[in-house]
Formats: sequence, structure tokens, C-alpha cells
Amino acid sequence: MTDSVKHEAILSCKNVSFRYSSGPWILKNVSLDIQKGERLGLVGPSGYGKSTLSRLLAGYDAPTEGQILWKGGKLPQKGFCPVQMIYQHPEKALDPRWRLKRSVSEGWQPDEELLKKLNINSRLWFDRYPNELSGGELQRFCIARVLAPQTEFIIADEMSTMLDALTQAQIWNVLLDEVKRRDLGLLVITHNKSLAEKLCTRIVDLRDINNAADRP
Amino acid sequence: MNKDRIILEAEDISVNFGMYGKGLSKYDLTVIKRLNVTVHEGEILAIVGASGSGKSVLAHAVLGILPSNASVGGEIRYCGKPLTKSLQREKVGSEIIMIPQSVTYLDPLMKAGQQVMGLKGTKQQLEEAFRRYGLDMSTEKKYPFQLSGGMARRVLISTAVISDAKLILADEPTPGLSEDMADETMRHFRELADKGCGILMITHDIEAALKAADTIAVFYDGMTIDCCTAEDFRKGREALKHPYTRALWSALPENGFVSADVSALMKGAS
Ligand SMILES: Nc1ncnc2c1ncn2[C@@H]1O[C@H](COP(=O)(O)OP(=O)(O)OP(=O)(O)O)[C@@H](O)[C@H]1O
Ligand SMILES: Nc1ncnc2c1ncn2[C@@H]1O[C@H](COP(=O)(O)OP(=O)(O)OP(=O)(O)O)[C@@H](O)[C@H]1O
Ligand SMILES: [Mg+2]
Ligand SMILES: [Mg+2]
Repeated sequence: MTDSVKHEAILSCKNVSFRYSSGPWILKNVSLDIQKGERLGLVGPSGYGKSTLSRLLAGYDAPTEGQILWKGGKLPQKGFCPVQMIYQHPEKALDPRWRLKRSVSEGWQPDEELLKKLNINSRLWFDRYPNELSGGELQRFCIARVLAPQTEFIIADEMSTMLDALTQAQIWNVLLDEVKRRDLGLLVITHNKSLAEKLCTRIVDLRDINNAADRP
Repeated sequence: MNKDRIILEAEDISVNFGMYGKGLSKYDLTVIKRLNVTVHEGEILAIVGASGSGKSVLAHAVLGILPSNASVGGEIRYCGKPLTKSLQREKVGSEIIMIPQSVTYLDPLMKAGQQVMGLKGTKQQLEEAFRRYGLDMSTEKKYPFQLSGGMARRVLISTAVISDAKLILADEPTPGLSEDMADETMRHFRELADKGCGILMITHDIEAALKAADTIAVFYDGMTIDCCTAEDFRKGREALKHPYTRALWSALPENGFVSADVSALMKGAS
């Protein structure tokens, strides 16, 4: 990797505005560059648009105005998306009617080593439905699911708020190792200041870059 | 209020799930074994512990909402009476209220305001709760899918705090809330407890729990492995006895973010 690549934004939004149908603007003229190699923390009050922005960055929703740029171009519309999201509520990320093994076969088959590091008991869990696992177990499963080899960028939206302190530390250590080893991009959304300071190389407050008027 | 009066007593509880293995062979999965929990009038008991250790399952057993393949052993008493199916039907939703861990418990087809008021709440109570939890009044008209994560959580909390429950089972009430909001929730819980409510609060947020709880129970693998006063926890690592509890303390981001090999720790402890 050359130095010039190092300083290039890999994921960015340019003058992005967004609202849900005809509701108020949630995001207005938001611009943000996430550089290669940085781990960015995004903070801001509840209901302010952090999850909304992350869905735009991962290509789940399209901005009402403005552009999302992935390596200077568009996010691939078909096939596996290199930007993967870990949701705030894992119970909403999985199809409740599918056993875990079906959800996992959609993406990739995580290797035993990774499963072990995340304390995932594939033999016991994969035949179950999502509501037959605890909240933290489900979230660990979702983390394994996004660590596919094609993944280049991870957005972690409050991913560890339902994990006990020990599991939280363990999971983040695993994820940070992967991020460093594979040179993945990382965007961390969290309310926990100590956590953001531990994990991130830069922290942005959405209030400072959002120009939507009457926000909570 | 009588602080010696027991509101909830779970004695020698075990929970098994009947599961199907390979080739339709049946087996029992034990997720809680010989567990004891007591909540007095005016007491806040915080339950912390490993992911998957049976905290939510315990709460669901008290509420009688486990799936049909679950069997519960031991005895659960509410205000001295065995909490039978019919007593559950009578009390759950009125005197016994849950704040669920999963936001999918919100009725997707009902607006937030209606859900918060429930059957007995008034508009005034709703406004008070929304003000207290920083929810704009426009939230009243929103459906669950239109709420942000933290808003959904605050709607769930509001539902419980405006009911006049005698027992609140709060399963992870504060994830995704700002420190201010989590503190406000803890202050509110304390007020409710000081009026006589018993609160069983399952939480990963030890920092928040310490601000309100009287007692802290530590769960691991379906058992209570440690029980200490909130005071001990506040004093820090040295005041804690069990190695798992100590490791839990050290793993907090503000205390070092140290991960530990838990199974090795547990082997050393037993
Ligand atoms: N599908 C939707 N339809 C209408 N409004 C929505 C929808 N989803 C979210 N909103 C609104 O958009 C705003 C921003 O929500 P978002 O989920 O992005 O907030 P957030 O910053 O992630 O908050 P939190 O920290 O509570 O998770 C909120 O006011 C919310 O009510
Ligand atoms: N319906 C079910 N069928 C089989 N096993 C289940 C079922 N529900 C829960 N379990 C298992 O029971 C154990 C305890 O689950 P529980 O949800 O109580 O954990 P928890 O302590 O609340 O964890 P977390 O902190 O992650 O929410 C878990 O290992 C889970 O996989
Ligand atoms: Mg959010
Ligand atoms: Mg749980």
C-alpha cells in the first residue's frame, strides 16, 4: 500500500440529506470522509440520526439528496456489499422464521477458529431460531456473520450495549484484531465515551456536521 | 413500607428446554439450576453476569412467558403466595410489569402513546413520563418502526414507570441510552422503590446499576455465583471476592477493558 492511498477516503458522504417520506429532515447537508486505516467513532444524542446515517453508508437506504461514495465511486448494487453493518438490535437483523444455519448460509460459513473466539457454540445454536438464543448470543452470531472474507468495512451500531463487560471486552478485542489484521475500515456508533476513546482513532459528534434544523 | 416484606421469592429454580437433536432424538437443555433470588419491598436487586447465563429466562419464568417446551422446577412466590398460572394471569401486566430486553415486544401496530398508557394510564402521566425521558410529544403518534433504538427503549421504560406496579422486572432497561438518560432511569427506579416497589433489574451496565441498586447478584451458567452489596462494588476490585466478579469489574472500559479467560477463572474458583 502506498502512502497516497493511505490518505484517501474509502467511505464518505457528500452533502447528504435524508428524510423519511415527507417527514422532517433528519440529516441535512452532512459531509463526512472516513479515511483508510482510521477507526471512526460517531456519537450524538438519541434520535438524532446516527442509525439513519449508518444505513445510508451501508447502502440500505438511499439519501434523499447528496451522495455516498465508496472508494470514490458507487457502492456495488448487486452481490455482496463490502460495507457490512452490525445492528443495534440483533433480534431485528435476522429473519425470525429461519434457523441460524439458514441465516449463516446466506453469507459465508465462519470457520471454527472465529466461532471459538466469539464463544459461539455452532453445534448447539445453529438448529435454533433467533428467539431461542439470548440477546448477547444473537449479537455474537451477527458479528461472526459480517466477518466474511469479502467484507472491507464494518459499521458497528451500538453493537455491545447488550453484552456484559467481559463479553464486551472479548468481542471488541476479537473485532479489533480482525480489523487490524485485514486492514478493514471501522465506524463505531456508541453512547459510551470510555468505549469510544478505547476503540477509535477519531471521534465525530453528529451535531457538529448535521445542518438539519429542529433536531431533539 | 416494610423492608422485611418479601415481594418476589424464587427458590431452588431450575429451567429446562426440551430440544430435538440429530435424527429427532430428544434431549433436555438445562439453562438454570438451583437458583435463588429474593426481592423485598423497596429493594432494587441488580442481576449482572455472563451473556447466556439465564437472566432473561429467569424473568420470563416469573412472568410465565417461556415457550411451551420449557419446564420450570422449584417454587416462585409473589407476596408470599405461590405464583401459579392463574395468579400470573391476574398480576402480570398490572402489578407485575416487565421492561423487555428485546424491542420487538413493542406491538408493531400500535402507536407509542397508546402502548405507554396501557389500560389505566392517563394522558397527564404520559406527558410527565415523556418529559422526564426527553421524548418529544410527537413520539406519541409514532409506530415502533419509526422510533430510534434509544427512543424505543425509553418508550418501554415509560410504560413500566407509569403503571403502579408492585414488582418491576427490568431486563436491560438502559442499553443505547446516554449516560444522562441512564442516570435518570436509575433515579426514577430509586424513587419507585422508595415508595415500596420491588425492582429486579437485569443489566450489563454496572456503572448505572451501582447508582441505584441495593444488592447485586452475579449470574454465571444458570447459577448465582456471587452476591454482594452495591457498596462493595463501588469500593472497587479489592473489595470483591469472587474471581469472576473481579474480572467483570476489570473488563469495564473505564477500568482497563481487560478480557479474561472465563472458563479458566471458573475452574480456579470451584
Ligand atoms: N422508518 C422511520 N420512519 C420515520 N421516522 C423514522 C424512521 N426511522 C427513524 N425515524 C426517526 O428518525 C430520527 C433518527 O433516528 P435514528 O434511528 O437514526 O436515531 P439514532 O441517532 O440512531 O438514535 P439512537 O441513539 O436512539 O439509536 C428519529 O427521530 C426517528 O424517530
Ligand atoms: N427457547 C429456548 N430454547 C433453547 N434454549 C434457550 C431458549 N431460550 C434461551 N435459551 C438458552 O438459555 C440460555 C440462557 O438464556 P438467557 O436469554 O436467559 O440469557 P441471558 O443471561 O439473558 O443472556 P444475555 O445477557 O445475552 O441476554 C442461553 O444459553 C440460551 O441459548
Ligand atoms: Mg440508533
Ligand atoms: Mg437476556
